[in-house]
Amino acid sequence: MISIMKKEILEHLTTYRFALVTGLMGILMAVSLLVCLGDYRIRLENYGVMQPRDPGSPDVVLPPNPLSVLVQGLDPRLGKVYELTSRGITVHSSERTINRLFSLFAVPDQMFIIKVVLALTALLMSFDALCGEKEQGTLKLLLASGGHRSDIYAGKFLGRYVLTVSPFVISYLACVFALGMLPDIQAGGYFLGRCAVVLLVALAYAAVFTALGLLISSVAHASETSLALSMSAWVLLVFVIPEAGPGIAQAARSVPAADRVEMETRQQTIRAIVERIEREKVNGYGTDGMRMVDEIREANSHLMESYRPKLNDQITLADVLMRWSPAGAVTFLLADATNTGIAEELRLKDAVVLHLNRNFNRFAGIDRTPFEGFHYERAGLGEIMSRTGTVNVIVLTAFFLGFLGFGMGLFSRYDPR
Amino acid sequence: MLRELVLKEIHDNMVNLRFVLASAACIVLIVVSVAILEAAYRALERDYRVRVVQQDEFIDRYGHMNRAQWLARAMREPELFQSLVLGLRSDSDDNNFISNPAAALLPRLDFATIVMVIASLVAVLFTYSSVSGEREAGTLRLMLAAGLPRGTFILGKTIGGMVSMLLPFTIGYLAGILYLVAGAGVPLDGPTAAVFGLILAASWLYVSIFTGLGLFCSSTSSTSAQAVLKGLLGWVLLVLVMPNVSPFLAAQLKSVPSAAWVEQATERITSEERDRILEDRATGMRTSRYADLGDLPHLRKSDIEQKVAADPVFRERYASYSREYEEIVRTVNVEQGEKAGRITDEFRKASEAQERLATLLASLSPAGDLTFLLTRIAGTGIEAENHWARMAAEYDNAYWSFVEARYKSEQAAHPAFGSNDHLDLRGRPRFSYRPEGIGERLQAGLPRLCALVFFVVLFPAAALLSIRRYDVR
Repeated sequence: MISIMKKEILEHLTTYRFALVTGLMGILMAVSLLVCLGDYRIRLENYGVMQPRDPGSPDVVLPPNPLSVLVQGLDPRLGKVYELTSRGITVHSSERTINRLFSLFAVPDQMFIIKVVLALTALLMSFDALCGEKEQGTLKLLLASGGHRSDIYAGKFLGRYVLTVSPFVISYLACVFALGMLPDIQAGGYFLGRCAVVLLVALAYAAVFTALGLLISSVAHASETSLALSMSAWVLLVFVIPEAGPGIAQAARSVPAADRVEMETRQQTIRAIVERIEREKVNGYGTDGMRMVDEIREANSHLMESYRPKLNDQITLADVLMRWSPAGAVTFLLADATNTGIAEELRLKDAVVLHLNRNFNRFAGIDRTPFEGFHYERAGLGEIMSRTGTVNVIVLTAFFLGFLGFGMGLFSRYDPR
Repeated sequence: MLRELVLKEIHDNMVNLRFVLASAACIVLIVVSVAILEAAYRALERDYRVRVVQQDEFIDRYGHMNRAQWLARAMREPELFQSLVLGLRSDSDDNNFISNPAAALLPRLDFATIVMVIASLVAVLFTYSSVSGEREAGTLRLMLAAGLPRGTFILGKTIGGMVSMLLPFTIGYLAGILYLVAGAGVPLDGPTAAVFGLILAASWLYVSIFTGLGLFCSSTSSTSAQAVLKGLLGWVLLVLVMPNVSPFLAAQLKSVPSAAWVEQATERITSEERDRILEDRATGMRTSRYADLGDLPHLRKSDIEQKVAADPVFRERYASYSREYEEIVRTVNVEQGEKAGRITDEFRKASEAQERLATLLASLSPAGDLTFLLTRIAGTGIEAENHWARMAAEYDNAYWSFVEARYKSEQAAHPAFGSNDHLDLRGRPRFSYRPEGIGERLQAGLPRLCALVFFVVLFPAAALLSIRRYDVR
């Protein structure tokens, strides 16, 4: 097995394909680093403008997460300014730009490189691992030499896997090292630990697609067929299933549109104000303020309580559907591991609501003591794993074992005659 | 000779496993994505109708001057063609506390993505071996030795490759349209048919570009293995890297002030600062000219109404005070509005410059051009949003003029009528969104169309240059 692995590596180290994959990965990583670091710096600078000067300020704004240089996820949304008043929570855009092209195109971050490009390179490095030998007739010789089929298969897998991940690992570590040297990143234990988690997830994901490439190669008789099948599988697993999942979830579990929720919140506030004015025309000015505040508070909580279960249902369904593809599981895993995912946004919003409730009398002007400070800790790894992380890891492992085991089974039945 | 070459190319592709896989994938994917997005569109459309009725009823019941602009918001009807081209994601999702984060993190599969990512990749995979394969098999040498002109050879390969690629893709698209028309009951009138036709034409051009790219890579490679790697590298750069990097690059090259800072500054100018100035001026007016009316701000509304009804002198003085007060409010609002407007204008100009640069950078790739063209034709892009914003602003002005006129007429009839009293707004203008005409959309999309045509010609021309230099020996 080791000798086959070595042969695979040495044979491909000097090939055009390996040079191309290495070059592509290096260029993409460098571009991604420069672009996402620049974006992070802009958000950091913006945070400097927006952060409340007074520690007891009612406004809540989170600093940008340095891990968003690797996985941007929802970090620009998490960094918005939440203005808390007795009439509810208003969200202010804290973005540096209103450039709408950001919502037309994907973010070229490490998550994109891992999810799309690493999967593609894994397939490109492995699609001809067995069928190439079949075409040249060397597979017969290899089998005739008495090597165990599972050893040959495992050697092939390991060789191609090393070839796939080595350009990625080298460029990724170079990126992390470069980031660690920068003063605005503050690369402490949290940053480096999560970078290691991202790397581990990427390695597991590359293993899944290498195993898939090898499986297809063991089925196909010609490299051309294997390539066509590999590309079809890549499109299906990286684009079709992960992108169809949210659409199906949206159609099956509808959530009120944001505009509807905004309108209802606005109308309930206006209704409470107008009714207060009407009552005060009779009872005198300043007699009905608290009732109005209570009405607005109750209406907002009611909206939140009716909206949240529907949203959770939709997200759970999207999560379940997307897990039918390793790319879907990796999307959730990477975003959660870097604290830039959906779970983190919902967690932050819960914390903001709690903060509002704790300080409500201060916002309403009943209590004149200073506001309690807002303290927020991003989710720890234990919490992430207990939520959906473990399930996503199991999904990736199941895909890997399934592809590898199925491929090995097919190869063990291969008749060289 | 050209005809034979084209037919041979089409035949070779059609009997290939790749063709069967691509045809099946195109048909299934397009129909599934259209069906999912059409269901989402119907839900949004129903939601829009409910919101319109709900807002109308609310204004009828709670209409008053003070919050008139807060009461009525122009609402945009969902665009029918978003079942094919999703385009811009609504910003309102991001700026509401109760909003769905899934839409921001998880992209959805639409026809535009299928064309931009999947069909273009399939096109490269269809053509990467068209020249290098002949070279490897030795048939290229035979064909050229038999006197086949090199231009005819490339032209035949180009036309053959494009036709065999466009065939399954067109079948898939037509199946999607059939679902929309027959299954979902979308009326196929002239403008709708024109939009469907233009989307297909733009997609044809785009897919042809990648057929040309595959051919170019094939003609510059000695083996098919080399050709496919070159083709995939080119595809990754043109489809996945260049358009995605452009907005980030533009944001760093053309910096703009913080949107949040602008929002805070204008909010402060038009609320706290405005109230302070208004209070100062109103107090000055009351103490200098209307001291005889008493402590008006602290009088009950019902007491004022009683005094107005009982005392004709007070009634006249109060009416004069109200007119002057309204004039101060109007002047202060105009002054503060202009001050805030200057800040917003500067920000808007800087943001537009950044957006223009990002668009220019993205246009260097066919994927960027296709995105802009499809969203332009389908009415789901930046220009459609600008068009909607202009119409909404016009509506706001018309609505505000109506509210002011109604308020003045109520005040003339009842001098004690205040800005918080119920104002009958039932005759107000109603907002109705008219999308741009198909002619305007096509005219505006013409530069993008030309860019796509340029790319269509570029790669086969480069392939021809490369094959001209090919030494048969």
